[in-house]
Amino acid sequence: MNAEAGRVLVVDDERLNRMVLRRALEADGRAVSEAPDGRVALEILDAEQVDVVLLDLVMPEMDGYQTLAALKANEALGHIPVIIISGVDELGSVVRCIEMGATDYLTKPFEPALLRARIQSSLAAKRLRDLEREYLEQVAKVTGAAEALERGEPDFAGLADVGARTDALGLLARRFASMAAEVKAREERLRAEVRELRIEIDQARQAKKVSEITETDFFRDLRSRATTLRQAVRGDEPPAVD
Amino acid sequence: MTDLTPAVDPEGFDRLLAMTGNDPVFLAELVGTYLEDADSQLEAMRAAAERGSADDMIRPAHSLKGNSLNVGAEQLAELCRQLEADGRSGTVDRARERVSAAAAEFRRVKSELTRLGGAG
Repeated sequence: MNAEAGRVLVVDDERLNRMVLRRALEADGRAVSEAPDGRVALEILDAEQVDVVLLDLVMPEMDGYQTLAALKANEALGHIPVIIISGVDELGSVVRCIEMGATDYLTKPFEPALLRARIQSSLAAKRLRDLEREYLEQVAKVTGAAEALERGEPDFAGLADVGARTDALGLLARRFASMAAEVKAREERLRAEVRELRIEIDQARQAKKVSEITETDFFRDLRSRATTLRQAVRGDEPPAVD
Repeated sequence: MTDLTPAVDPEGFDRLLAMTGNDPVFLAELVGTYLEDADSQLEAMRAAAERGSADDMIRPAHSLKGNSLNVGAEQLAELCRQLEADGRSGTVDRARERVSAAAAEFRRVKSELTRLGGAG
């Protein structure tokens, strides 16, 4: 199987149709999953990465309309292209399905060239849509990082994959991450300087307090008495008695 | 009266061959599946006609129509299309007659597909 050729989910209650479509799709290198009704199709879509759905309309359990409606209502699956399988006498139903969001249709009996062209065109549309979704997700990562920086909670972990892009968005992400890193480093340097200044201010404040005390007459008197006492203790001369 | 129109349209059969990648083994498997399913679909159509049940006619007629188109059995597909339309409109007055015609056409299709080497 060729990953570029994509995976196609064939949803049809007729095993003959599934067999024919599987063979033709596999001949083009595509991976194929099969479902006999809509319910099983939705289970497969939840579990597997599917690129295109080929959907029959008349089925037991959950028919093509119900399946299409459920698929389009699902945020995670709604972007997957759906090609309706119909009879030539069911074109009214096809119109209804296209209004509901189906991408294209294929009539029975299947024409190999038409099947190939429609799958290819749906795959190309899906790839474009996938690229657009990825781009928008990555733009959201850059704007999210900018908002986090503004809140003072810098978080650039999500920017690594955006920065790996070779286009303008990648360049923007790399420049933003590098500018944000510079801002962060500058902030840290400023914080360290503020810490040092605070210590100096504290020391000056302490010195001022000390000088305020030591330069009073009371302190000078105390110091003089202390000197006298020290001399008396050492026996230089008897202390004066008041 | 003998129907001279081919039961299996050569162009339709060529299209089926192209879809199978001209693989005779897979072709035989496909035709075998078609014949097996057609038997049970015709049986369900016959039962719906007997009961006069329009609703029960729709699905087997729709299935046999689509499968017949895939193997190039265009007349049979057309008979099934009429039966399906009758079922959808709720008018199955001519259902017995049309199911008999479909069964007769299916015998021609089966014989032709067997001749073409699809199934033994």
